[in-house]
Amino acid sequence: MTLERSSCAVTIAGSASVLADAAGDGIVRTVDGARIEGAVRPRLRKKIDRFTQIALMATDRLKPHFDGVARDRVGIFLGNDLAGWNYVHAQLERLIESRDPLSIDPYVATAWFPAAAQGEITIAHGLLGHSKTFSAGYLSGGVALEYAARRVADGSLAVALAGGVEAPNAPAILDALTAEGRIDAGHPAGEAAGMLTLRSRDQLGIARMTISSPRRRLEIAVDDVVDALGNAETVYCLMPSVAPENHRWSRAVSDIESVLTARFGSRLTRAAAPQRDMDVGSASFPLAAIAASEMAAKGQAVLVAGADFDGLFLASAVTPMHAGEC
Amino acid sequence: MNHRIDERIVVTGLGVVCPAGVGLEAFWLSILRGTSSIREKTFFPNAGSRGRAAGIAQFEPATQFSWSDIPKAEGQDRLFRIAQTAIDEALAHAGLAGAAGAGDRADMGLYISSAIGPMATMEAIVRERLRGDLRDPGIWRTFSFGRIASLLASRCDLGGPYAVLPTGCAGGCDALGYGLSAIRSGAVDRAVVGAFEAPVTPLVEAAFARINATSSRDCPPKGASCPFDTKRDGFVLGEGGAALILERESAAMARGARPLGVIAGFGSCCSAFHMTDINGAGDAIATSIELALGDAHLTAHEIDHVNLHGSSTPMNDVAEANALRTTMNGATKTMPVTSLKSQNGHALAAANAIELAAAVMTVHEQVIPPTANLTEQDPRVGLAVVSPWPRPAPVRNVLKTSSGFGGIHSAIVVGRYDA
Repeated sequence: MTLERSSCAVTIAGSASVLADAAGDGIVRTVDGARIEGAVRPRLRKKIDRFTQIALMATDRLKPHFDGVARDRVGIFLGNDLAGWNYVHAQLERLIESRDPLSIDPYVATAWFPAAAQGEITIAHGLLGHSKTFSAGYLSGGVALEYAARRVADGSLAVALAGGVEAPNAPAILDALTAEGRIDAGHPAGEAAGMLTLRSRDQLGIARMTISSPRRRLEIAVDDVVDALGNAETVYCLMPSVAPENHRWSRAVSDIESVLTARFGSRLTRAAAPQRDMDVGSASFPLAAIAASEMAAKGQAVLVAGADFDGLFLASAVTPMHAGEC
Repeated sequence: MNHRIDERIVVTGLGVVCPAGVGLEAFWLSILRGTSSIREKTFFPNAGSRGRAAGIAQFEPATQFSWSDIPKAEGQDRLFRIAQTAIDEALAHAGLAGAAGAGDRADMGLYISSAIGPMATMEAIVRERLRGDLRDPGIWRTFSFGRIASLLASRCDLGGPYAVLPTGCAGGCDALGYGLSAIRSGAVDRAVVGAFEAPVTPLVEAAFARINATSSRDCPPKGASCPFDTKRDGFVLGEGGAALILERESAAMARGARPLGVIAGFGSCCSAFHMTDINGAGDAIATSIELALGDAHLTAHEIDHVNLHGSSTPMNDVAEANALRTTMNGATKTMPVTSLKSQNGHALAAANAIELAAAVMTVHEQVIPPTANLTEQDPRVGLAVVSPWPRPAPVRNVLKTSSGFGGIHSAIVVGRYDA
């Protein structure tokens, strides 16, 4: 069966990223506590996991983009794959040792699940519009971006805040990522959030984003968006940053590069991933899309390619606004 | 780009695993009887009475949580066993199983939900790690929510895209809504949608008991969940899941499939009110209903039955009743409504997938399943609850509502299929 092309075009009207501080050693980099304390009030901080705190920080910065828009026309779309184990890990250990249900705090039920950040953000900003959370491994944030773009394009929303967040520094999660080969001291896990403001394509903004449907083959995802790149002399490409010692994922990135080289030939130029050689999980694709929008604002055509490393792919063409739109 | 396919999206297969029955036929016959499948179950026998009952499927007892189990290998958690069983049944029901269906499965999407993932294995990993006994490196991927879908897609031989929407107790409706969007966008012609949950574990029992969300009423376990009743004081945890096969009508017809129903519309919004509480006026629930009706191009007059979230919490049931009073144009007093939570318990995201399977069966069989355990309806609810017997009725469209932590409210309209 021949699949139809399926893509969606919107305007990137703004963005915000929160990245772990570069300093430090070991297998995880975290966002400095003082940065979070400045952004999330103490009473709320006690009730929520770090991934929600970081998502709130990023979303706060987007507030100017949705101020003045009816709140039932604004939605939040988040990718998160590893949930709130920073909050719950110690609570679960306490429960296991005590076997007393009262030994855990009352916020376990609302802090841990991946959609917790979505809920807290809608409450913090009074957002009433269609909102969703997605888990698709390393591609979670990309899948969230795609669905958000569709809801803007079909007119359900005037503004979508979309991206991904991960705070993977609980002990069991770090063990998990290490055992998986995803992280090591040279390519640590990093707390991160990348959020974009999407508006319909007839609105002004920083850049145009045409995003494919999630696909099982990268070639099909690229087919979905290739027309949006037009005849750009150079197609800059942003791909996932993976640990060199993670041979399975490194091979997958090489395969992605091969597909893109075969498609674009000498027009293709690989650009540096924005996450400073960290594994930022669900935030990876949105951070790349943010970097791409900044490049597009300077006139460059950028292809963002993403994968979940289990066989799911996404491609997005991020291109300059047409003359006179910026 | 940005185009939408305007043809009907039909349901051609169902698969169910839940306390009321394993398999669609057993499930449907059981819920028509209207008896509770909830029983006594607690991991904390010396603690208080809250959370001492659960709905547990009569299914592979060896996969139930035990304090002494070592972590199960990746993909062997009870969640995966429930999910794979339900998906396999739905594929077979739709005529898409085995070698004969391989071609149609090659690009078939998988869009599912689980609010909490393979929690029993995650708890066992943390416990074994605490003891320093953990050895099997393969289990670590258990922590990835996305892995639930990629692994199930592989096991069920589904070659299309996949995703998990972990949107709490609205997850089943949300997964279906996402599948509807994927088909309408042209990304896939058909998809498995559904939600699966195996949450009967110590952490989940404790977490809900800690916030008084679960029932503590002194009564036999079978009576603990009683939606719309004056005695209701919280939900009872349940488990299970349901899978639905969605297809473009033309794709279903092309392969000679027999539609069971139509997914006519989806609506979802947020309340921005509270992480666990629901505004008693039910404004956000009403909005989700209006959005679903709008998406279906239907009016409230064309809805003949509402399958409610009906969680048996004091707040939810009143809020839902008020939402119906806002949206149903005066028909609230006669509109037949039901909740299946008193039969199955509350299986979080999976609850509304199971209830969607019941909604499809309702339009197909023209019978409304009853609500169990309703003896004295709360006057603040004041709905025409179908109880204690099933009600044969002409049903053109069923409205399914759901609400989740974080203020997520989603609704689906399921229509009768007329060729």
